[in-house]
Amino acid sequence: MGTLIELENISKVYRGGAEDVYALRQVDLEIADNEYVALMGPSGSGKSTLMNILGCLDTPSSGTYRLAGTDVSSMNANELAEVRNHRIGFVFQTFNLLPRSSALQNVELPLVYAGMRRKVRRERAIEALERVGLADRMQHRPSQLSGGQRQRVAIARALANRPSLLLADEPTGNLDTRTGEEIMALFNALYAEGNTVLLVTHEPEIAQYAERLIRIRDGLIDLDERHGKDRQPQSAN
Amino acid sequence: MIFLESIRIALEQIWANKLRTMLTLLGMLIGVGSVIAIVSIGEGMRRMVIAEFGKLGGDSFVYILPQQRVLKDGRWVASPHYRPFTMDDLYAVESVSDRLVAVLPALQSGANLQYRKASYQGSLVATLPVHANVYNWAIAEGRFLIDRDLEQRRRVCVLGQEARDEIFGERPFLGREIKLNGQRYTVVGLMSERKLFGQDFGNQVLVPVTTAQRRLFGNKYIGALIAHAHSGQDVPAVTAAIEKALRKRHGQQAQYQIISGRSILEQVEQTILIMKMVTGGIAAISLLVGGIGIMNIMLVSVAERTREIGIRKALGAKPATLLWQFVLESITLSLVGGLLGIAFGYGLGEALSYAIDRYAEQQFPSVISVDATVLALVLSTAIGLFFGIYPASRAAKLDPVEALHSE
Repeated sequence: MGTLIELENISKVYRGGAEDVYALRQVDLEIADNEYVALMGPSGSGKSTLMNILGCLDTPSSGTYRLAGTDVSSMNANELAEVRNHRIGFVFQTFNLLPRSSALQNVELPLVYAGMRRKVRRERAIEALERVGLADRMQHRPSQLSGGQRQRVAIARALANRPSLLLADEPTGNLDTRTGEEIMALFNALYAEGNTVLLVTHEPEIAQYAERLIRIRDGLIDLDERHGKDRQPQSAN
Repeated sequence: MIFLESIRIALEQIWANKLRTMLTLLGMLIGVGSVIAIVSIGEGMRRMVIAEFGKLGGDSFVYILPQQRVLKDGRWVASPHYRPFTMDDLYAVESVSDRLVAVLPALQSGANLQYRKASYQGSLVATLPVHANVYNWAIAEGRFLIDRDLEQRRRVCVLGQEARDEIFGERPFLGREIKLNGQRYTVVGLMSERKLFGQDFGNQVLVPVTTAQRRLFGNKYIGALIAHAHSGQDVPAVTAAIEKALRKRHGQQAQYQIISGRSILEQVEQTILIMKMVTGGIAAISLLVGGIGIMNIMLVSVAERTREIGIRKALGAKPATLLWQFVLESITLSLVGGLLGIAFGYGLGEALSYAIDRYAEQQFPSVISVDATVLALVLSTAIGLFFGIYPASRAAKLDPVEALHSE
């Protein structure tokens, strides 16, 4: 099993008027292929910043981020877009589907940006929707779907381009408990199929689903533990 | 793929915001519409002028006048070589070239007609029997002027339709005597109806040039020669031959003023072109307004769809891809406005043409011009592109994290 994510000395500084604000302070982190990680932390802890950097939506102020062996920490907007397209599948709390597009069109979107031919792209999108159990809802618009179904469409969209990392930001935050459990069961299954899942959540029950728990506080990782294993605290130096 | 996708999204946006889009596109519609209407009406006008001109002899005639004044030391002074033309001059140049159809005198004045209690103010044309043939003007009743009228300086006249209507009404008129500028003339014919450039030839009273010279003008002069050649190409040679023959009679220093049909036509075309450009320029200002409307709606659209832009970025849309998407949306929007404008413009052109026909009694066809249509489409695309780039670049430059978290 290779290393998927390697963070070395990652800092993120927001230049304020009076003083600089550190969102992340020299964070080191490694995540291997096919890991199931929950990232926890209170608001203001740097959790979102870390997630944005891991998702290549943002770049660190300093340090090195290697994703699948490639240094992505100093990439430009175009290169980052390509990495997001090919390597990362996002699942958001608010689903973030395009309201006027059908489920199928939503799932096809990353494939459109990948420059895939129409026929191939349709096949792949249908495949992804079948995987999340929505084969019979492909032509429905988000407004015609329940919350759970919408999140399944979003997961299908995240899976469509076969990413290296599934990045789920509070994926059950807008769902009732039962539907939330169904969605988590889907992530479990996807993990079991060999996907790498990074779950960002503030709910300990949801974090329980993961095999590894990383907690961040004040821009530092203050807890990194694997279930069924001893605590392996990893503090930043 | 992204191209088609962008157009699909654009049409979807137009459809989703129908009212807003239509209001925005009004500017484009009016701008493109007025450009099209002006160009099509202007083109119709140009074609009409050329067609009417053709009936007058097209570009195959030339006016020749003796030069009365010459420029001397920066001032216009009477030419020492000026001699007015006479009928002898006309006869002398009549057969100088086999490319010459006929030479007519230009001699006109007002015509005061009286018959019993009716009176009419028309236009007197003193001319030759070939006049009717040269202008392709048919006689309606009676006869036209004949050679013998000229030889004997008969006091006869041929009336235009309007002159006849005003003086005689429905009453018989052939052979009747009328008073023409105080002298008795016998009516021998009636011309058919004829209108050119909105001018009714029906007010003309045609008399033999020799009669008019002696009895009405009291001299033997004619104002100018109107030489009709077989075609426009013959005009320069014919003109040169006539000038040569005239100089033989008037002396080598004599100078003539030459006004060819072509030069008149060119002036008219020039005038129409300037008119088209000026009005077109004014119309183009409304295009500018239309373009600003497009820019405005695109800025609103980008602001409203910040989140959507964020989602697209998260899914791997590159800045250039988003730039193109929004520019294509802007162009699509603008082109839809342009297409509506083209339809509106031709409709407006037709309506104007109908109105002119109706109220100015003037055939004034509106012409669907391929050039104008292509121009309108190119302009619409250019406006969409130009006014779309700024909003689109704002979309492209949005920070993905911020965009995703906007409401």
